[in-house]
Amino acid sequence: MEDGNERASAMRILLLEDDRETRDYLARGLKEIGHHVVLEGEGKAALARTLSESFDILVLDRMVPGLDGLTVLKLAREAGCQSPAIILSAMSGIEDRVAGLEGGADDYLIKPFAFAELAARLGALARRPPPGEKTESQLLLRVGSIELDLVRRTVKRSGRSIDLQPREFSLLEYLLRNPDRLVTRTMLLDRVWNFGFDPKTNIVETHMSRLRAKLNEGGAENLIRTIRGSGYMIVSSEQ
Amino acid sequence: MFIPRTIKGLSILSAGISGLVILALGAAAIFISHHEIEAQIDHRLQLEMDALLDYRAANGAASLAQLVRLRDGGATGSTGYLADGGHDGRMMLYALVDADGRRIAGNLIPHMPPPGWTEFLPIRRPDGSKGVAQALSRPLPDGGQIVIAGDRDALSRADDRILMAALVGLGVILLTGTVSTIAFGRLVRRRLVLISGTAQGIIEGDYTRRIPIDGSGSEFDRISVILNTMLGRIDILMRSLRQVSGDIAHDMRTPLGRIRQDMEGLLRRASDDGITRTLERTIVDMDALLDLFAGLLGVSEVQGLAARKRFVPLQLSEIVGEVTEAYRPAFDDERRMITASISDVTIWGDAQLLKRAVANMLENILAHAGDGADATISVVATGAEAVLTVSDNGSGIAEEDRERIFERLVRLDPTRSKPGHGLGLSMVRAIVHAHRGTIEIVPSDGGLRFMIRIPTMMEKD
Repeated sequence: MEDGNERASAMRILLLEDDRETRDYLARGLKEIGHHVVLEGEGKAALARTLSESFDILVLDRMVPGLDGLTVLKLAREAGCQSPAIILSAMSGIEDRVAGLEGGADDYLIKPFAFAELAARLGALARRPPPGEKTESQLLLRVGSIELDLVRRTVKRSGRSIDLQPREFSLLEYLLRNPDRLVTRTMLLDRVWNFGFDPKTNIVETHMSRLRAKLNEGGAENLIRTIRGSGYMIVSSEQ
Repeated sequence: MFIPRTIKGLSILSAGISGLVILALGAAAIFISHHEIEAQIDHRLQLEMDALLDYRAANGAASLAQLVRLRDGGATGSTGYLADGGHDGRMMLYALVDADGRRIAGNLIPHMPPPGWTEFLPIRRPDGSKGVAQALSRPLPDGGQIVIAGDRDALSRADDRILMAALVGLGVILLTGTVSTIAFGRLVRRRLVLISGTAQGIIEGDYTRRIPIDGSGSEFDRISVILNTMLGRIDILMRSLRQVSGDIAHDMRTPLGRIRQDMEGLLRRASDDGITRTLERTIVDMDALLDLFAGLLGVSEVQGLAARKRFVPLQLSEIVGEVTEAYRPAFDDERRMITASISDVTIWGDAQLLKRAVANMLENILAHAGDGADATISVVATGAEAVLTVSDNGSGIAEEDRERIFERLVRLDPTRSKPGHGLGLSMVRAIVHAHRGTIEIVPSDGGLRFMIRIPTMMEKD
């Protein structure tokens, strides 16, 4: 079994969480995959931190004493803090999620969640390019022998053209933007299909198997690995 | 008997009755005054006649002729009884003829009436106009005849005045009746519009709405206060229900989250395959439990209609198309077909909810329609509605289950062994209702056919 919690490039993370056990668990997990974690258990202190220090990512629990996580984020945003932020919440309502995203969060994760899910989402958030910055490298995505041209909307593997359905194209694009990182099923549902809910049918797997079949036609090595129970990872190093 | 049930009808009825009363009063006034004036004229004529006849008896026929000529005043002055208050001295018209019918005095009465009372005697007025008079005629001892007449002009003028007054009264009554009907109607309608607007807002899911009160202390204010108190009570109950749901969600998720964390932690350290499998299965079960709970809360949340605040115009066709394509491979994998025929139609809605509704219906077919059952999905615009039809050619359901399958936690599979919590179609129905639509199962050749109707953008709300 491959470990979904791959080692990430080190990030400085502010973690606001009032439940000690959860806080310790998350902090331990994040440290294990190489991040620096600053812990806070109370809203006002967390806000003060965001204003005086700089973080690569804010991980804010919504229901905490003092200021709630969403208010901390709003105030931090007003004060000019641009770090990507992910809200953790036990409030699972559709409206709660909308409020979270409208409140300036880049992602909203409902408790309880698998640690791998949080780690994967943090990885994706950190790699999100700053808005308005489009370079050539972002118009041509390449991982291993797979090449995806965002302008012409074409895909090649080792020079061979591959014909993809629009959704397969988006799926591959998202994987290529996160090489060697776990992307979870819910992340894909969210980003590729824009499904803010979790269907019972594994529509990600059905599409993924078609994408794989097309990419691997002619006996090429399978670069899209399934991480059991977590999601998928496209690997850059072909053996 | 016709009893009006609208304010308008009641006002028209009361104005009509008032009008009739005014007319009756007017008629009575005319009748009474008419007779009174007639009697007065007759009385004056009688007095005058008696006086003249006494004068003749005392002074002789020639003196009478003299007096009559004097009183008649020739062709000048007025003739009306009471006209000009009698300033010109002429109170009445006179005529005197001898036994041969030759006119001795008075020429304003062209024809001599028979002896006695005459109600309508044609006369000529000094100004040349014609009139009608009441007259008393008496034979004279010398075979002649004397006539005294009072112009009925006063009578008809009095009649006219009373009639005019009655008509003016009627007009005023009708006018004030109409104006007050309109004003009253406006007042009532304005308040009812406020009340129904508030009710509509609450139906739409805005439980903070209250009926405005203008402080007039009117009946409307009083009923509004009572209704507002009731709404406040409902709001508190709804809030506490939401609060409780939220608290349960939070309080249940927190420990479950910890258990899940611990099991994940154990799973990472577990070396024994059996333990690993048990832990994995427990995590799956716990996720299913959380999923069921989130599903129940989700249906309630959509039923709360709060999503309507976020509705935007969107292409239903695009949403249905996207979801259909997302599920196509899943159908393909089971060698089942999914056929779509989708035309453009714009509705007000929430894309996430609509996607979920379509996804739930397709999953329902995948899970329950039976092996090899194909799906057909279509969107057409008919007038003011978008009609979304989702059908399968599977095993169908019993007639009596048609309403039941929309209920929460209802599963037609008696063993409840198939996957799912029986929430999919409840969610679909809640979403359709949030979009002001309807969902029903319609007859089809076999299998199950759902028809969803949602108002299009054309129907402005």
